[in-house]
Amino acid sequence: MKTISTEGAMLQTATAAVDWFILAPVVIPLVTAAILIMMRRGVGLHPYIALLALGANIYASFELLMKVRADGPIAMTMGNWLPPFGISFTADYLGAILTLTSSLAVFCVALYGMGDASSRERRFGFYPLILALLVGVNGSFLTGDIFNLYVWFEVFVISSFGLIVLGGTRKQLDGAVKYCFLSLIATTLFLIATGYLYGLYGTLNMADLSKIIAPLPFEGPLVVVSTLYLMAFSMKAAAFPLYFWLPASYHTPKIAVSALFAGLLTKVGAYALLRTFTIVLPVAGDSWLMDVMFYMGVGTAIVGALGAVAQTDLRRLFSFLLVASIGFMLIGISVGTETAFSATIFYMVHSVLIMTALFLIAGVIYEHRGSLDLRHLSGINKDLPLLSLLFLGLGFVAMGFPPFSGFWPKLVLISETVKVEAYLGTFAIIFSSFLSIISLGRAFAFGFWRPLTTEGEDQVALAQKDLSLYSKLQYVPVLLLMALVTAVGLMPGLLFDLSALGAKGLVDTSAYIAAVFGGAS
Amino acid sequence: METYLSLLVGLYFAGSVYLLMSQSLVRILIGIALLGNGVNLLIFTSGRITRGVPPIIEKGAKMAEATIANPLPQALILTAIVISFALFAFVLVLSYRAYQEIGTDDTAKMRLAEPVEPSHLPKGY
Repeated sequence: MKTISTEGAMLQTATAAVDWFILAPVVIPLVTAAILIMMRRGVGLHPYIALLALGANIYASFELLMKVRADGPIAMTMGNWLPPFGISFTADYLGAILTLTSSLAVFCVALYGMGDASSRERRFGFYPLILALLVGVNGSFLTGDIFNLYVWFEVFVISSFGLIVLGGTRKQLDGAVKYCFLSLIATTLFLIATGYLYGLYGTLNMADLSKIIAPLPFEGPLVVVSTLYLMAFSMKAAAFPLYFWLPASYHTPKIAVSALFAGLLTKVGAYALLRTFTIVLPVAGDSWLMDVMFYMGVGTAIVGALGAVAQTDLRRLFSFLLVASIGFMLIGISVGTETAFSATIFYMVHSVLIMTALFLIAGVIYEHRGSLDLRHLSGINKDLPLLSLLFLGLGFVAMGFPPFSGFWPKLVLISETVKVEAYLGTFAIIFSSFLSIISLGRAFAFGFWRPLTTEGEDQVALAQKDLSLYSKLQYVPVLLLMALVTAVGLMPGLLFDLSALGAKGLVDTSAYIAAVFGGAS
Repeated sequence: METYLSLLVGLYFAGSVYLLMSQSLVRILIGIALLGNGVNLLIFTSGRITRGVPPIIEKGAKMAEATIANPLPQALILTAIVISFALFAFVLVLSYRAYQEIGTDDTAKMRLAEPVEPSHLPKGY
């Protein structure tokens, strides 16, 4: 019998224990979710266990970021198969920064859920599902294999399906139908593109694809694949003209759930665009397809902000602002300079934190007033000055006022669009920010500054009712997020350093490729 | 063989897109099922078709003796089938529940989350 050496294809030694660490941000929530599902009788304990695990997860993500900072991108390959055969997990700056941010956002949502999720909803799996959603999101940020990225997408998509129908009212079902069908079609498009990619190049490892595709001309089937990816991910990111599902569904689920979705899900779409058009398909990142993405970004920024001006429901207003923020990211990605990438990464972090915070504060308002309709909300400024101040502060963050975190990436994006003479992008960013000032200003004027209207009399009774301890606790995550965005805004250098390193890794892919192919043995 | 399969995939996609553009939830559901099957066939075809040589390696050997069929697309399809099955089952139940609650399967009439009549803020106070 022939004996064949497997040295070229398989690891000869066991993976070092340190390398397993890259899996921690995925494994911790996954195991905890599984334990919580088995604890259906002990739903009272769910929040504490989940918070403990999420705290551990923040720590693990932070350590991972520090490790990446010290050693550069790190990679680990599953099942002893050397890349490109095995599935690689690769943490670069971009992935590590976003993993930390998403872990922070989910922690805040879980904290909010302590007062918001009823024991019935906990039995239906609120906590296991938000943990599973984090598994999918962190997996997407850390994987180095494009088919595996699809699988992580499906992991968070199926968890989000479970979350969006929690409660099961008619309005929710209506929103859920639109959300679920559109998500399903978007991920199937992603799978189609991946099938073609495999047929063309015979590999699915991102670093391997990067090596193969970099010298190729941008023509023929590669154009088809790239366009399909652009379509699938921008559908997931809710970019113009494929954003209609988002404002149709994000205001229907539980508030904690919509905060989670707003904070994380669209950002994964934007992340996937950033990843595919830099590392996986480097030639597409320099092609005319970026012009298409640029106009999509301009459209998203303006249409989203215009939509926000027209809304009377606070959560729908925020949904449209979320759409507008995706526009800025698309503009940043399509401009394509290293500084623009860096600003995009910074803006993604900002957007995760602020969007979670905005939806959570909507929840606090609902807790006090029993409505989020700006036609009826009124007089909050007089009754609840702290809430009013918090809303104003978060509004300033979202509009991009200094010294908060939204200001700096917008400033850099504007200067970059001017530098590459994409003045339409400059206009879109400024005009969209201007419109968001109008929409949030109006929300503040009507909901908070306006004296109590006559219809609001029963709301006064509600406002003077003593809130339970849990409801008071709901201020904590909002304050936490406010503190975070203020800290980032006051010390933008810290995050800019990291996101600049992240952008550098996207422009010069050699470190990423070396980590996958060199660091595995 | 690949050519015929490619044409079949195209046919699947065409039928699916036609159904997805319908207003009826049931047709959209069938469209999604068709799309999922079309994709599986696409992955299968893009792995190149080899006849009659299953990717099985003799006991004790570390490598196949002759050319074998590509096992990777089969692994990919298996993953995709499981995922699309789970998601399809979910949207199937969701559609049924929505039909029960809202009383219609016409997506144009499902306007609870986004009411047709526009709402305006008062001009001032």
